[in-house]
Amino acid sequence: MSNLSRRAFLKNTAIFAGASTLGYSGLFGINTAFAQDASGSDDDVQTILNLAATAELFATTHYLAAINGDLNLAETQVNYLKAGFIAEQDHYDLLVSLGAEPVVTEFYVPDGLFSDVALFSAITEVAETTFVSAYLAATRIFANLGETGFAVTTAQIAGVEAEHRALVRQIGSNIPNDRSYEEFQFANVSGAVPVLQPFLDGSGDGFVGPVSPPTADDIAAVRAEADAIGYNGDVLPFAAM
Amino acid sequence: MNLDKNLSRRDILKGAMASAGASLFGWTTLFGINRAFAQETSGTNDDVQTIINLAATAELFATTHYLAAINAVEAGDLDLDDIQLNYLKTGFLAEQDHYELLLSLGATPVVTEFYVPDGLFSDVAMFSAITEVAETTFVSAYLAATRIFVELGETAFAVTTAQIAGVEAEHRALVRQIGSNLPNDRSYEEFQFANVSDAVPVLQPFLDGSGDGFVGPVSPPTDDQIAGIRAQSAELGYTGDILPYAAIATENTSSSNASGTVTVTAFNADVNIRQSPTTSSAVVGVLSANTSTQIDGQRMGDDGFVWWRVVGGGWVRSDTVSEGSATDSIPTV
Repeated sequence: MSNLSRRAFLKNTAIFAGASTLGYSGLFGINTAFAQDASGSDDDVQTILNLAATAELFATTHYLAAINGDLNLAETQVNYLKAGFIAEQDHYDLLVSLGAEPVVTEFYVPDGLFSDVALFSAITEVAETTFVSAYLAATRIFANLGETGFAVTTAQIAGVEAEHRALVRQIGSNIPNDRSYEEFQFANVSGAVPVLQPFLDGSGDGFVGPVSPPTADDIAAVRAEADAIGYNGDVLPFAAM
Repeated sequence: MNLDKNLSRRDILKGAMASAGASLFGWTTLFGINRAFAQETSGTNDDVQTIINLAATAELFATTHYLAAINAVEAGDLDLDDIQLNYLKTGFLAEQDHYELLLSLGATPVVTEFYVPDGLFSDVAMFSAITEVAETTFVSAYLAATRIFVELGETAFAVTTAQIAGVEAEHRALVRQIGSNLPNDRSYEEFQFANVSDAVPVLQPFLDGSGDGFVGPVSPPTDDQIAGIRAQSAELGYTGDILPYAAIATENTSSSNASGTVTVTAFNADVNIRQSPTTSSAVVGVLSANTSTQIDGQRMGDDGFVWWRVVGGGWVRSDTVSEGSATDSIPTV
């Protein structure tokens, strides 16, 4: 399976012409029918939406597996996972409503992830840190495009992912609020692809899967607990205000 | 000082005439736009100087607040455990870093003493509830700043305020947890205010003691107090090396030059510099994590990755570094 750098999948589609039709070149490739032009080398809007939706679908799959796993977390910590699940599901639903299509719909994780608290904490921290950075990259791009509503909305989501990051660090007995600034790691959302790629294609050593995303019943069951765990579903994305 | 005078955002931004008769030291002066520094903005948006002055005020309040809480815990008045105490200390460090950034940008806090509800630092539930209000307000104010900076075309500051909003969101979550509430209780951080100055009515009792049962004033942390907590950073596990995007963008702009070089920065891991653009070639150097170097050429590797040619010799793979500016001008070699 072909490795992909951001540049490779954004700008060098020709090099993948000979790759498998099931390879990532097709899955990650820009759909020019939907893509919008962006200035310079910035991701286009459809790419941002698609990659964000992929990350959110991975996150819901990941958190549901953790909720159902053998992590032996305290009940309050399980509630953090349930609340995190609902947030990621809300983000996914928003993105899909905007026309996003996830680029993969099954995922892979390191073997033993959902029975080893330290491993779960470390891996989830990597994922959430990446999500924060990717949404900050989206804020940058939307700002450059003058898309105020979406720039603020992605900042709102970055903040929620930052909460999740802090709490999974805490679950691993690390200081949760360890920084003064959320990390801007990627100029583009697609800069996050190499970090997340093992979760998307199982290419990492010891990764197992694939795991299917939550079903409608799975989602409804966690949502039904929202009031009981103290979840506030009333806060809107700025783009909807 | 006229502490009883209530101010709305409209008063602050638009009511200079109505306030002309107020005390010279009243809130109109403190919060008023300094036209010598203010930038014109479209519509009714706060100007940049107002944004950074109000943000600096909030951050100075936050450091004052967290230091008082830390001291109360250490004195046995606020019943938190050592782990929770550490959250307060790292929260303090973050707010101090934000404050110093804002000062470096020319901010002047509009007040330098603060007020709090009586008993705040001996009642965990009250401390959690009040601090949640403050942190929720900070998050919203920074999101308002993001909105305004986007409209001004100031992308670097829009991203930087989003970075800070995220950190304030972490603080909000943890103080909710301290109060035994679900910390991550939402899908979106709350956009409450169109303008940063809309946060003033919420924070006003802390700034002028106008709320029922507020006591003070309390002075902000001294240099020695700040240094005392900073000295614990490593022990706390605090990461002090993450930069605001405004600093990254400035660095990259200044390091990109007419000769066609671009700065690239390693992510959080050391990056091998290879003799040729393939991982099978010899390692001729290492670009340490989070450090930068210059590139002046690019080549598509056989592995499907673009590789950057390092000015000092060797190659780094493009997925291991962030590019500081557009690389379109980097020639294929």
